Amino acid sequence: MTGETYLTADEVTKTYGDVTAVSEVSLDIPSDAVTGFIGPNGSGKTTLLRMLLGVERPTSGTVSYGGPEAERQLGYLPQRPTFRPGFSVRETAGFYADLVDDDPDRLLERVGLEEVAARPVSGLSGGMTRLLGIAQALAGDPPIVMLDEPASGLDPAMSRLIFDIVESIADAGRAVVLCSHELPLVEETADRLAVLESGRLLRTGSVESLRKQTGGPLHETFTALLEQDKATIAAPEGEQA
Amino acid sequence: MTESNRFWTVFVREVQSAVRTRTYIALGVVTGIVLFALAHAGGGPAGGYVPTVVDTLVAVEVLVPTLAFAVGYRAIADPAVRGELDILDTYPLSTWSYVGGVYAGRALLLLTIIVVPLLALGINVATTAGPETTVFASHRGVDSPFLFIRFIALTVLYALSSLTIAFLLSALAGSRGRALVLALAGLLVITVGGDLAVFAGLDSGVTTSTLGGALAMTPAGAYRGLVFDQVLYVAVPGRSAFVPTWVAALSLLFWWGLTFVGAMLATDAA
Amino acid sequence: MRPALTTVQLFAILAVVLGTMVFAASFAIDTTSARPEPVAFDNTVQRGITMADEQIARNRSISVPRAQVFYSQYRYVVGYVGISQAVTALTEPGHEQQFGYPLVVYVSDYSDRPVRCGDDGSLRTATPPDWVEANQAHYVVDGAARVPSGPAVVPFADRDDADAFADSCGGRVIDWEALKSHSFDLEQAAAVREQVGPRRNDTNATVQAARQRRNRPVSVEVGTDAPTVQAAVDAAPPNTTVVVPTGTYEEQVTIDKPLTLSGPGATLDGGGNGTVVTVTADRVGVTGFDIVGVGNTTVGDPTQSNDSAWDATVTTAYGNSDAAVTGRNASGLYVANLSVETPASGVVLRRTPGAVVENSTVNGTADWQDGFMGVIGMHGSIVVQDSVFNGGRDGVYLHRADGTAVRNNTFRDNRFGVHLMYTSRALVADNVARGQEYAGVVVMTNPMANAIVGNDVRHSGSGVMLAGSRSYIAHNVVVDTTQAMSTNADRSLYEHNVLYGNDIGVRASTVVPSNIVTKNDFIANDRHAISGPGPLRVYTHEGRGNYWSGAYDLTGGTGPTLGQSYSPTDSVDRRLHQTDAAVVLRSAPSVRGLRALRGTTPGFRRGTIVDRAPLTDPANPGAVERLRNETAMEEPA
Repeated sequence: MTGETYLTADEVTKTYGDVTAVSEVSLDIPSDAVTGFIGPNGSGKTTLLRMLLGVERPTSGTVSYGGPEAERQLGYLPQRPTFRPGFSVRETAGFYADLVDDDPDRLLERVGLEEVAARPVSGLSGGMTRLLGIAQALAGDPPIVMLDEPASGLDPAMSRLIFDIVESIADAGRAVVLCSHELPLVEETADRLAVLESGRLLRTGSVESLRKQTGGPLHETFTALLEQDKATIAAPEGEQA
Repeated sequence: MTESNRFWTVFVREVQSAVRTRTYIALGVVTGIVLFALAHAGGGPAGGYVPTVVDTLVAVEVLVPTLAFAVGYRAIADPAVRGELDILDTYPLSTWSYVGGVYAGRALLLLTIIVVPLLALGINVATTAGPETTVFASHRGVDSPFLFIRFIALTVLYALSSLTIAFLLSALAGSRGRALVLALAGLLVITVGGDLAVFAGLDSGVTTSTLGGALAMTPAGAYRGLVFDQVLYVAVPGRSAFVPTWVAALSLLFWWGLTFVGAMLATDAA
Repeated sequence: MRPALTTVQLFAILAVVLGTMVFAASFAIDTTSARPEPVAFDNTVQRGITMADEQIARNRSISVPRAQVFYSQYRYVVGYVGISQAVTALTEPGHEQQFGYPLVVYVSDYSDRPVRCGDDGSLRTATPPDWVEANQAHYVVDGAARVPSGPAVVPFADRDDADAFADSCGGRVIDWEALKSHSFDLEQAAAVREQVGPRRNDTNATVQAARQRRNRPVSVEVGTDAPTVQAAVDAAPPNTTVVVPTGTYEEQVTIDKPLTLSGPGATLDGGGNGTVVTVTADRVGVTGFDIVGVGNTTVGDPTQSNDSAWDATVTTAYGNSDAAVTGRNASGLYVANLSVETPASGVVLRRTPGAVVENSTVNGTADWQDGFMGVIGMHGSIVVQDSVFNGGRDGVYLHRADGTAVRNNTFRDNRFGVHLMYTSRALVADNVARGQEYAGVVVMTNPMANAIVGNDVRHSGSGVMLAGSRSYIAHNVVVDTTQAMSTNADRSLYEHNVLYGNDIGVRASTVVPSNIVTKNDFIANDRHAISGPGPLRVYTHEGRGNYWSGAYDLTGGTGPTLGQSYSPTDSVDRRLHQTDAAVVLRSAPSVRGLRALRGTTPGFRRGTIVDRAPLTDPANPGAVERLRNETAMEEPA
């Protein structure tokens, strides 16, 4: 069940020159819940995420934090995290933990990397790198954790593992935001969805409420929503398998 | 967790990273070889501290910014490209602590690469310089180890300023490829550009009375001027006003501070 | 609450603070204020006195005021014997450029010393003087006090003592600044150049005077008027000529009156024991003999000396060899047209001022170690000219023979061609030397004001080896020696010499460089010049350097001098005449960078020579052209 609002976006817009990446999006991010951003490539998911994070400054509109007092308010897993080479997993976690007085071993345990703590980061698989990124995102116990495509490009077992961890993060009372193309897993994990297309927020709501609108599983809902939208703007059609 | 401790954390990681990068050891060794070879080819160490400065000054003036750029050109660009800066944005880590910590770590590396060979050269002078024969009573003349320490001190200041310039360009680069191009361009400007600009400006803006000041404005000119002013003056009796000392010193400090602030702002924007 | 610093952090902060403090301190310390204390004079690099004067001073207990100078760029303490020498050196143009400025100058302090200027004016004191800084001292000048080299400048720390000395010995008291602008009229090398002509003229006059011995009326003819040569000499009245007809005369002759002994075609045979002709009277002539049968005694026994002079042992050892002709204590001796075969010496001249030896040939031993000198000149100026000296030890050996002229002679296969000991103001000109084991011309014992001009030395150990000071070495040609010239002299002028195809052109060997080396041609030597200890030598004078084969200029200059300096001691430059690859290396940025500022610290540089204005073309084109035609040696491209 969703809790209080930790983060509020109010009419945030981001333009790069003539291109509008995100257009007047208003959104609440509640605690104790996973909010999933879905939408096609280039729909502005990542930009919106980065504005919510504060990494990117909105062209207009505001993002306000409403969560509890914390040394680190937001944790962040970028799309393809890479870590400074030459350090071990333990040292990398230690660096981030040190910045917020956290315990690197706790973080590694949390994502199940304690076994490979001594391994150099350059020797990690894609999934393990992602896990280390998540561990880093949890450093300092931020009330909000944002994950950008946490499982893209990973094998199903690893994707599953990561989504399980994501779920457990939210269970600890945090607000979790994630962007992902892994629709089945998002459907399973997310409590709320925000559907973006061409920088605009098409819908927000719980997975159930969105599913009700179309009556099928999430990917159908997703496709249906996009179809509707495409019809309204008479987009050129493409052959889709 | 205090800000200074975060600075320390970043600094320590830079130092560890530097220690683990073997190419830096190679860089230091090569620098040492170049300086020693040059000084000995010139015969300076046998003559004393001042002749050693004379033999190595031209090389050091070019080597220092080169090394500074080698050490610093990816210092900000790399983590920016890697996404590390975005991650760190979510930590309670001020830009000052981060850029400062990275800078301090790289500065330690750079100074090690430069100062250790210079100190070794100084020790070499201390042990080898002197009369070829002990038949005659000898003395040091105006030569003094303090002059060599001054040379090292000025070189340190020059290195620190060069490194902030490298940082600024690295922060502005945004990609590794651009970082390299910007670094090379910056290197050219420092080693050649400043003096050339003053040279070109002679008779069209720079006058006899402002020449010293104009030179002192450029990092390399200020450094060279200060070395003449504080070290080599003993060898050139009758000449002392090479560049306005304080202008040159402040110029180097100003370049240092200004480009450091610039690097911080650019890092924020990256 | 701020957490406590870790130990590492503490050390880091400490290191930064400490480093900053050391750096700051290095700027705070005034490095130029150090003043070295005076050192024992014996340990200084000494200049300014000839060994002859030094020996005289020691022998007669004369105190010579001294100075010691600590230069800003020169590591050795330079000691000057004679204050006037120090002042002259310190005020010389270009001096500071080479050694830096004087950090401190100390002079002898005669205050509180029982100093006096005796009956002969010689400065004497029972207690050796202490040291005082030159600019704190008071100087008594233009008084009666003398040292062996001339008038003395006597420094005192205490003005009253200076006044008291001036009262007793005359002169006036001045300070250091005034002293520095005081002219001492010391002979400079350039002045010696001006003296070459007059010396030639003086020599001509001496020769003309001596040749008067040829014009005496014949009084006695051997065989006709007297049975033996000695009998003829005994019988002949003074100022006449004794004629010795053709034939061989086995006897030894002593001439004790002003006579001329003339024997063209006659052979005197001394019997192989002792000296053949001994001259003890003034104005004697000995001409036209073949002299053989000279004894083979060379070096005398120095312990037999009963003379108190400082050089008594030298005189005894070197002045008593058997010879064809020996002159002692006789002026105006004329020896000509002799042909001598000798296992010892040819002509020994002791205290024979104005003696002339000309047109003679002395054939010494094939191995120089077996024989002795062609001509020995001691204690008095002589002239040796137009003669030939084959083999033997030294062609001409001079000891305290100031003002001697040795010219137009030919020396072959000796140890030294011309050998000067304790001999100043000599003229060694236009001699030809070939095949000397050690050197064509050698000057030892630091004499002064010698002129070595126009000599031609080839295929010898060394060419012209010079010690001493204020000498003039010019227009000599040295070919194919292991070492053409050494500049072991100071404040001397080397010009217009041609050094061609030697192993080493010039060996710069004074510790305190002060020679002028200009307008010489260095061609096809393995090493044009090398340098011993001591600071940078600048071989450029008044904008003119020397011609160095191989030196070049890529700056496009068309003038008489090249735009780029040339350093014969530089490892790149010295190969320029041997390989063109050196040109490429010389253009390297690193090599150029290395040289950019070198000129700022000349005094600290050891063992280097630089010519700041090398000549585009040979300075002596005629001589060089002749040499190039004469010698088979090809100059490498």
